[in-house]
Amino acid sequence: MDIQLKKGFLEILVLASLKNEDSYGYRIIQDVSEIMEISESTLYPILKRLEAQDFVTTYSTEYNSRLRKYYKITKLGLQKIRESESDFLEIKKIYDYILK
Amino acid sequence: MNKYEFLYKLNKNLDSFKSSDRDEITHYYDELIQDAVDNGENEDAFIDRLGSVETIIRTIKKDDTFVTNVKEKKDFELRKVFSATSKLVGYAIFVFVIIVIGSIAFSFVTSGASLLVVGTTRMIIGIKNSVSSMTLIMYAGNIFLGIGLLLLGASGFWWLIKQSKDKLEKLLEWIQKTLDKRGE
Repeated sequence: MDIQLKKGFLEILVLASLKNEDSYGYRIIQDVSEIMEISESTLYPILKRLEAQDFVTTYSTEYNSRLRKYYKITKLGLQKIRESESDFLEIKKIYDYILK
Repeated sequence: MNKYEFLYKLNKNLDSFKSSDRDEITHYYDELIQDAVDNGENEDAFIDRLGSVETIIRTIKKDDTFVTNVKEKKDFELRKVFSATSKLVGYAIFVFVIIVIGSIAFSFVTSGASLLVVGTTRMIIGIKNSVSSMTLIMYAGNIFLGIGLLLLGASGFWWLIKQSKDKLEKLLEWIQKTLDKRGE
């Protein structure tokens, strides 16, 4: 898939993986990679982007006597997911035209 | 390469980053490797899969401008909120001053008018009853004091109207603009 397209989708996919419960780096990669290929090094900038835009917040919790960083989706993040639903209709229209 | 070698190399190559970012990135990879190992993956194989430290750093740097831009935009919005707040405080003080000056002007006008009326009436009655000139001078003083207060109060009102007309128009305009922005 086109890199730019993929980047946009990955942001939403990571948000979607946090929709039901808070998650951490390794598990986010596992969840998202079921749908789209994502590497460890690409996830980090995506998480930073989401954090900068206030779509996620972070907190650290002890796990196996070490600290694990969890990501939590914010109201803004949930709103972003809803916005992407309307993007879907537009994308569909575009592809209906392309594949005509 | 084992975990310690990898993290050491990563940390060393992050020397152009802020120390907080450096710690955060190192911690991110440390956590990933530990989670992978806990999940039954082979440490060396997982680290191989992460790719070279150089590529990792290049990926982060490519995205740096985006994060900085978002932060700058946020600062700008914060400044806008501050300027709106200070404007609001300014208007609150202005309204307070208007009320104070307005009531002072009002009391000047009323007391001036009553002094004028009382002085004039007493003067007329006094002249009819041919009272002493000293008393008449006192009544005349009453009248002049009344006129003075009246003029002072009236000029206060005049100033107030002149000032607030301009400010009120600005205030209304500003409220309108703010509402328009909300609606966008």
